[in-house]
Amino acid sequence: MNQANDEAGCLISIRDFVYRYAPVTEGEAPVTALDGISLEIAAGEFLGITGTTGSGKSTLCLALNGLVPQATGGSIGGDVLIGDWNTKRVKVPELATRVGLVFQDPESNLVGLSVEDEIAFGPENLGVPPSEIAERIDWALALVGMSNERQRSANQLSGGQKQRVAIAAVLAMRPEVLVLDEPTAQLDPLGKVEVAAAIEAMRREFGSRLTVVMVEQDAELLAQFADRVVVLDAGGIVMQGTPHAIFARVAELERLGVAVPQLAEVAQRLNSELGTDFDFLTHDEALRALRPHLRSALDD
Amino acid sequence: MTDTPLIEIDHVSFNYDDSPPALRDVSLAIAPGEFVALTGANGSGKTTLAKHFNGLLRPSSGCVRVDGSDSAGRPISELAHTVGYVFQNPDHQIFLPSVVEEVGFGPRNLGVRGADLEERVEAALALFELSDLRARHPMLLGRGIRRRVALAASYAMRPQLLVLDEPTGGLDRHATDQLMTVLHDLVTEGRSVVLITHDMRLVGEHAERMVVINGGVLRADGPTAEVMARHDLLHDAGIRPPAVARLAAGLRDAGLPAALTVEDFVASVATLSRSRTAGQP
Amino acid sequence: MSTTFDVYVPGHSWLHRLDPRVKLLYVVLVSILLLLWFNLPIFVLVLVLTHVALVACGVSWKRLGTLWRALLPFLILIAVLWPIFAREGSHELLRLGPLRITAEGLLGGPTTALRFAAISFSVLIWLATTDQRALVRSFVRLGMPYKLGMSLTIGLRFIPTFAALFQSVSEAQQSRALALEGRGLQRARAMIPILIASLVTTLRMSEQLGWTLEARAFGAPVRRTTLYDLAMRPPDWLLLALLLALFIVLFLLTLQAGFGDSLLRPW
Repeated sequence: MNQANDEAGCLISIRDFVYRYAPVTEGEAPVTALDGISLEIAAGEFLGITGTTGSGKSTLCLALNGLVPQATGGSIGGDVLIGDWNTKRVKVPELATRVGLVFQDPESNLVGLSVEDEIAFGPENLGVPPSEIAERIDWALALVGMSNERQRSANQLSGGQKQRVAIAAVLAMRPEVLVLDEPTAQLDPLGKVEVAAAIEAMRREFGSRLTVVMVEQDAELLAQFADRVVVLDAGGIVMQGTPHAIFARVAELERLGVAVPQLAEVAQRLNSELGTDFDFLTHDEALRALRPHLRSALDD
Repeated sequence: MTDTPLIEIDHVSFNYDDSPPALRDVSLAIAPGEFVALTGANGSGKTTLAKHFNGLLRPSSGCVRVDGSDSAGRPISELAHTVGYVFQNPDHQIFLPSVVEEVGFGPRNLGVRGADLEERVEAALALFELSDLRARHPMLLGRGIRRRVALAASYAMRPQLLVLDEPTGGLDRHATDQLMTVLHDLVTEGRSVVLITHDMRLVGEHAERMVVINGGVLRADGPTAEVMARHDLLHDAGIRPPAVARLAAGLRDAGLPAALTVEDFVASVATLSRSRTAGQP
Repeated sequence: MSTTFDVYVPGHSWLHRLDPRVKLLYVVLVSILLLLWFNLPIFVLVLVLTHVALVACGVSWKRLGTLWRALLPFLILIAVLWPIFAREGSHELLRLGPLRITAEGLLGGPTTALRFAAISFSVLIWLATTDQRALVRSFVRLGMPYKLGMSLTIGLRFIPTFAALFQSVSEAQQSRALALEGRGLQRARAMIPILIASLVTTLRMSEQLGWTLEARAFGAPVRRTTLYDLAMRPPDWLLLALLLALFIVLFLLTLQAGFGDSLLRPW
């Protein structure tokens, strides 16, 4: 049941996926969270997803591991396929062997009494032999930089630490896909840096052996990690492309209410003011682009 | 223009039982009509300090004066007439079955009734674009809306000083801009705003005064542009200036002045480009 | 500023290393004997020995003092009520209508109180030297269904979270001028906004928690393994045997020879 990690990663296929939550009060219409999404995610890809609140981002995350519709009820149309497993039919605990999910609320990600217990929990549920569980814990803790916090209890950890433990706990289950639902939304800047470092370490460790789907409103994080960014609005995909291509469309994104990296905003404003052709997203890119421009203005 | 500061923190130190001090000899004053950003890493003491403004915490030593008189012995329900505090998580206060009741709860506790109460609630609902949702159950509405309900609920209490703890989480750009407009209007009216936030972009764009707390000690207190320029101090305090400020700092050798906002930066670059181009033969 | 309600005191003493099931057996056996006995010197002795053991394991006097302070209202209540309601004894001291205070009754009050204290501190030996994970694991090994053990674990894990939540909600509502002063019914009504908001957040968290459990394959159709399991080692078996032996001896002495029967003398 547990796919070996060196087997070829799977392809996620979302076909005309529609999901409506059951109405909360009698007589009200069901709320359409996703309105016909079609998306193919290649094995090893790092896909970023963004959009405003209510755009369906979280619902999409829950659909990837079967919680939608199995735990949330509601009505569903279309399919989500993990390899050849249909998320409507394969039970969530079984899907969990291939797809791991980290939620945005650090508290809700932790169920155990200590960090060690937390990371052991998933493998224990999968029937992994104790000696191997111990190895996986060592490995996972080292990956996220929490080796010294092994015996700490959940309430002694900072937000950033909690999320790193959650990521480690999911990775210890050796999934093929990792879904992160706004992992830094509730963290302070230090926590965001810690989690970004953990994701970076994960990237380096797994390369294309792990497919990652990360929902984030923090545009800087998406720019840093995503191969491709998909923008959702009102349950549908409205834009997709590389981070550079997407965040260059500042006016459109602002109209949708989607956060834009501040430097992308700078680039676009400069372009409209000066007729230039800047395309930077990060600090280093901006320095590289602007220095020559300022110097050439200087050398006259 | 009144001389009495709204809040005076006078050599206040504070520690929870048996713990090392969370605040060490902090002094500051907030006058009416100020927009202050209170910044620092988690655990720096900034929230501990803010909780002294409305009496949630009482100093272990030193004095806190609210509206001229010592806050000691005055219950929170009395200080709430002057100081409002909006907590980070709107779900920690929402408990009534309709938006309009929720927004009315605070003013009601302050003794506001009748036409006065209705007027205040309507004004708050309109300001935060909640009028159409007045009869809805706030717990069933989206996170961004719940946050607006919590903001409206504190706004309706018409405090002289409004403290907001990370109010922009879950708000998109539009809603954030709207909130900032509301806060600026408050300041124009002569009230004051203390914004506790990690979002340095917001601080750069909206706060005229910036306070930095680190290790329970007040490290900086002054005009935002000045405080943002103190890179070492900010770094020690676990604060990173907004991306545009760092970019401007990185290009200082190319002749670019400091910048706090995208507007400032673009204007500086434009000025620099045009003046130099104009100088070309 | 986290409240864990955790009685456990971390350490590596021999009591800490003892299997929790043996400690639980100790609590059960000692409680049976303490309930059978009614003798002041014995109760004092048990208390003294228990305190020695606790201090030797690293439990601070401060913590012991906290438990005494918590128990004190009950102990005083017992010590005062017992002479009034237990009317046996031959050395009458006071007679006032139906009220009859005897010397035995007067002595019996503190004796019963100390019995209660002795049982409490014996329980403390068990809980202070067993961490929460080992505790739940011991229940499961003794027959508690795994799912119930999991509920217990999650409950323990979330106690500090809910305590902090309640505090935060209380502060948020007080900031809206909710007056918590006042007594009795007025204060109870003032708690309603706090309780409701806390409850709603708790329910939301619970739903998420259910999802997290499923997402970690809880309930997968495989045989579950455990990273650390409890295992009785020779010292555990030895102590188990000693405890049982000692219990049997004392039990027989109590029944046959009236050990611990009378108030002041063992025999």
